[in-house]
Amino acid sequence: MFVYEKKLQYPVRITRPDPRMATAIISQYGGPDGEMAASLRYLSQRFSMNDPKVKGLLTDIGVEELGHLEIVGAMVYQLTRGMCESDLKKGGFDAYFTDHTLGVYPQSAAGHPFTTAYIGVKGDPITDLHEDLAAEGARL
Amino acid sequence: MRNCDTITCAVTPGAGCVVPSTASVFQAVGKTGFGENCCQQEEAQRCLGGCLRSNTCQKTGWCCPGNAAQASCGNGCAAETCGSASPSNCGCETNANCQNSWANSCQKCKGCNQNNGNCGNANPAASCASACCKLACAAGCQSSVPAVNCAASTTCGCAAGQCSSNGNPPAMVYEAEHQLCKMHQIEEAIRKGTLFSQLYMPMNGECADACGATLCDGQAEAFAAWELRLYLNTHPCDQQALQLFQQMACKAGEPNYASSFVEGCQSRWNWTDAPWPWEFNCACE
Repeated sequence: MFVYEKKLQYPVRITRPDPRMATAIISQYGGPDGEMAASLRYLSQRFSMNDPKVKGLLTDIGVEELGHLEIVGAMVYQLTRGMCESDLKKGGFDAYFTDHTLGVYPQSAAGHPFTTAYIGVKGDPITDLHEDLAAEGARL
Repeated sequence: MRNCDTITCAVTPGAGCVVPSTASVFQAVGKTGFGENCCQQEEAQRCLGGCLRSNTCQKTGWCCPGNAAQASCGNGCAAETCGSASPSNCGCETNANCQNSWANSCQKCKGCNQNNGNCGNANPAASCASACCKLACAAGCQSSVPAVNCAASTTCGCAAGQCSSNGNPPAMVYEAEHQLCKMHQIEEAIRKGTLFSQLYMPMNGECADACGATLCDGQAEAFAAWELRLYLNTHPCDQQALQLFQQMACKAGEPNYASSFVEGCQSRWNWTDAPWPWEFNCACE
């Protein structure tokens, strides 16, 4: 089970809207190598992991990724807060706004909605850990 | 009000658990002090008593120490678990990490791998564990300023006072302890995204340090506690890490910060030991 703590793991305080930046950062939220993919990847792989240490790691890291997800979501929210209409168009945010207004929707920078096709869960420890390496490498 | 600074590991170690409280223990097993040492005997008992490991250790690298390790694990034995056994059979990840320099010695490889991260090409030929960090200690690590950029300076990245007297390279957790000595150092950890300075590898050599953010109460300590939690998952017997975790979790105001330790003995992080919730078999109860 999970218990929510009403705080960000790291504070986010953005005072100036930047819709163009938001369209890039949204990919870290719901893109192929975003935090949503990372958390679901680890939290799903742990069931069939055979080593208790690695079970523990996957659990803790998966939970931490959820914390990162919240941080990135807060960034997108604050980057689009208080915009005027001209900001929308100039910043290339109008397409996103058409579908989601200022909601934080898990999608890639190119607008593809989040899909679990981004992650792999194969039930084999070595295979899954290799997938983790590839995913973490993509985010470095 | 709890006094977090007074939390100590007032422990009688569990049966079979040798506490690596001094550098001599590390020296004796030729390892770098990651805290696995104290688990060897316990792990051996587990192995003998029905062993999670014998059939899985080749994949997971979690094999029995001593001769059992070699017998049952063959080439699948990871450096971490070689213990005091002759490491000649342990090859896999160590050799790969060490780039063929240390094919005949896991233990040296383990240290070498660590040192390589800090020392660049300073000591590729001789034993890293004995040569590289001794060099750094001799160069002043014991008493003075750490060498910040190891790759450039050809000395180890030993922080002040971090080199043990026997010349072994400092373990990460000692670095962590060093960082946690003062509050601003804990804050540095959360700003840099890692508690362990050896793991701080900013992209393109640029500092990712976010200086501007104002942290909330307990945020830096909570981050430190979380980092130590991850560390303890794989180093459950590291006494310093256990104590630091308790302190940080306490200061961060996290409840049940001491609940994950063996009853009456705080010497082992046992969070990963019990069955996982998805493993319970109701029919057996």
